[in-house]
Amino acid sequence: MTIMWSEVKRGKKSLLILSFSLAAMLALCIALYPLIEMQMSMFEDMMGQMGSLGEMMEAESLMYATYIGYYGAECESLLGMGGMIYAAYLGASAVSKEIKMKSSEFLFSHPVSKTRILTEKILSSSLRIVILNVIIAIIALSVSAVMGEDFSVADFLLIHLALLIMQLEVLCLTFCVSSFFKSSGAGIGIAIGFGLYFLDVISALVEQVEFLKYITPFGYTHSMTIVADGGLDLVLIGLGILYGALALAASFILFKKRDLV
Amino acid sequence: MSVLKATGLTKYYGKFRGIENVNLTLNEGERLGFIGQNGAGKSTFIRTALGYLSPNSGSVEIFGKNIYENREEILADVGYMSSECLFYKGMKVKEVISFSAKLRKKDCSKEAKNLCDRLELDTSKKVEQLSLGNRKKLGIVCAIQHNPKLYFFDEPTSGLDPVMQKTFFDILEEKSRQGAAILLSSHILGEIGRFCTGAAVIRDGNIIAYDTIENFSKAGYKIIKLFNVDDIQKVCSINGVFNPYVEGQNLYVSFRGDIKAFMSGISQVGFNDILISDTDFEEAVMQYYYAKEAQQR
Repeated sequence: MTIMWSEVKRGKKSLLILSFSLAAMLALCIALYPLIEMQMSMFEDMMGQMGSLGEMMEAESLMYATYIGYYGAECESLLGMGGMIYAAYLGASAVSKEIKMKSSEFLFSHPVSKTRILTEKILSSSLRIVILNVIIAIIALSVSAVMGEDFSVADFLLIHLALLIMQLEVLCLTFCVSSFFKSSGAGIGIAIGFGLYFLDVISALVEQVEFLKYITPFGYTHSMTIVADGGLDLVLIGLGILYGALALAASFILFKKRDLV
Repeated sequence: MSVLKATGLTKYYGKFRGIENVNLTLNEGERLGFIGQNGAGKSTFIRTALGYLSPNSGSVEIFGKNIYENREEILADVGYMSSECLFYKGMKVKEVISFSAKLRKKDCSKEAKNLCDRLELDTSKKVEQLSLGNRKKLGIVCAIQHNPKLYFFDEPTSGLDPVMQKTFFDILEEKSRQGAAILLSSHILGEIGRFCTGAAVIRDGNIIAYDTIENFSKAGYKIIKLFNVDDIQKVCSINGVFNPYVEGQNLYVSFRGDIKAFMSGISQVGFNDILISDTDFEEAVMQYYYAKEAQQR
């Protein structure tokens, strides 16, 4: 695991900066919840006086009235976007960065197989994503406990688990792109990540293209659905894992065939 | 015993020619200089021979085994230093050396320390702080520390000061005496002439000359300078004269063939003085370079 640990060590600084930055932003959101809760209570009173229209709007805003609903929405925005960009960057640059920086000639001069290089690279990226998510979850959980918020830890963990799986899927998809295109950089990976997010947005907005939720990994990260269902959408998660596995298999096949410099 | 054997090796980058039908053999203890102009195909040959690039046709055997089928096993006993010597930013020199040894699953610390001391390489520096010369030293340490049986060096001395160049060749000399085979790609003909036992000249992806240094030097042609010649055309028309260069009334030519026939030929031409010298290795190789330029003109 020499290559894996070396990559983790080299990426340690940026990983820690990102982890603590996202965690700090999330902690700030958690700290602001008492104020939000107060505003939501006033909002609910106002809706109560508006009859049936008020009832509809109240239902929409219900999730923000509970701590876990509010936390899930903030976590989706911060960790969902931040984690997706990080995963896309790691996946897209895993191989192409090596070729671009020309360190590949040094690495490939050693008695290591292409399969081992790729395996250790995907493991190193996955490990960094797991570390990012664990750091953020621990800090968020601790701050929530300190603030004395009442919530289901199971729901909290499910939201984080869904986001982690999404990031790992994005990693696999962008890793495949990196193995295929010689000169692809982090930009193409991040563009793919945002493209998948866009698919999720339009699948929620336009009924005719709702099927897109079966394609984008963001389809199974909606905290409102996770909390309401009390679990993850196993069909969407299963499809996500399948897409990730197929992308990884394609990466290995493509990488084995391509030239190394 | 043949350590490296390339047969009919051809590599194209899409439509662009890399190398064509390269045949080359390197035996145990042999030191082969690999010479060619920029873009001639030197690095492509090395990268294809090491299995970085898959060839369009041909084969490469190292230690009697096909490189494309036994790459990991073969590379355990091969040392390669690329011309650019680029490493991972953020790593210290000692970390790169240790990383390289770990990938080879060998404890090379003793040899690495010895090499760093001889090459005066500061191992506490970060890779991005290194000058080209120091990067080359790091590349040399990583290519040598595991004591391989076959070395590939792609322009190893560019950036090294003369003292370090000498130290580098002293180290290679020792490895060669222990039986290691060395392929040295370089533009510095002098160092190839001094260090190598043989040389291969590559041009436009093809090996155009391949012989021992001794035979290159005794290529059988001479450099002749004639002063105040009254009939330059007549001298140039003598059989065996090539590469004429005129400077005023003075004429410089290369000559290959029977020197008596040449002397008889110029006996009918008026001139003040004549200087005849044998070609050395560098001049012999330069003829191939000039030949290309002449072809282009």
